[in-house]
Amino acid sequence: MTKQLRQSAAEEQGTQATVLVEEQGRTLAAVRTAVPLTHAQQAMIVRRLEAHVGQPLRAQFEVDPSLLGGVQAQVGDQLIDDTVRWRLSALREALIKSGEST
Amino acid sequence: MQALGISAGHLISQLANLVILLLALRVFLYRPVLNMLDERAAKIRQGLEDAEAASQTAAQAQAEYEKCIEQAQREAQGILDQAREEARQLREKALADAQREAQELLEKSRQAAEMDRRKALRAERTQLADLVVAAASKVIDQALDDQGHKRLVEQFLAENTAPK
Repeated sequence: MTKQLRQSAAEEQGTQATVLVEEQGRTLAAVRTAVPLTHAQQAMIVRRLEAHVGQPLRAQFEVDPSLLGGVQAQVGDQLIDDTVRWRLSALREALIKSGEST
Repeated sequence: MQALGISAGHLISQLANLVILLLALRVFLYRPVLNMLDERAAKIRQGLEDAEAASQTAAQAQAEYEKCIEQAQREAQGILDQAREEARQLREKALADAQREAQELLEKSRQAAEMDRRKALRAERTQLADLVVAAASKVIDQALDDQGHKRLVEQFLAENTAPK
């Protein structure tokens, strides 16, 4: 579920996707969360993202309270959005589309 | 004859005179009169023949006239029937066109009404969804504590473990 929705979100925000950036041989990953992460959490997220894309990453962490919760990671032109704000946005779209078939 | 006072000579002369008179009458009166009567009869006969011929001509003319009148009536009736048929077809076509246009107008109106209804429903759903999301955002923002944020991060890590 999450993967498919994330891809949809990535397509919707594709124009805003950061162009793949390579710095010192590593791809830049922009990670945003609603609250600051501990060093341990940051390290785990980097490892998960590296495993996901199959290459070493250099992560840049930002705090954005408007995300409400969860993690949003952008690696090159790929956006992985697992935030509460995105879930609420998906809920909003589902509510709007729920009555269109009638 | 003497006793009767009739003279033979006188009788003979009278008979001769009578014969001469008859001959003269025959030559100068009967023949011209007979000729005149024959001519008159011929004229009358010719007049009767001419009258008969005129009568036949008049009858033929009458028949021709009646035939022409009948033909004209048939043609006029044909033209009238054709005009009526064309008028009927025009009326039916106009009626069909009007019905089709009315149907199209009705269909367009129905589609427009349906579109407006869908737009209104979508606007209502959008407004409701915005209210729900705004309310949920407030509740979640106030309800999420450090443990909740931690669980969300762990959930993110758990769902993104599959290597690409």
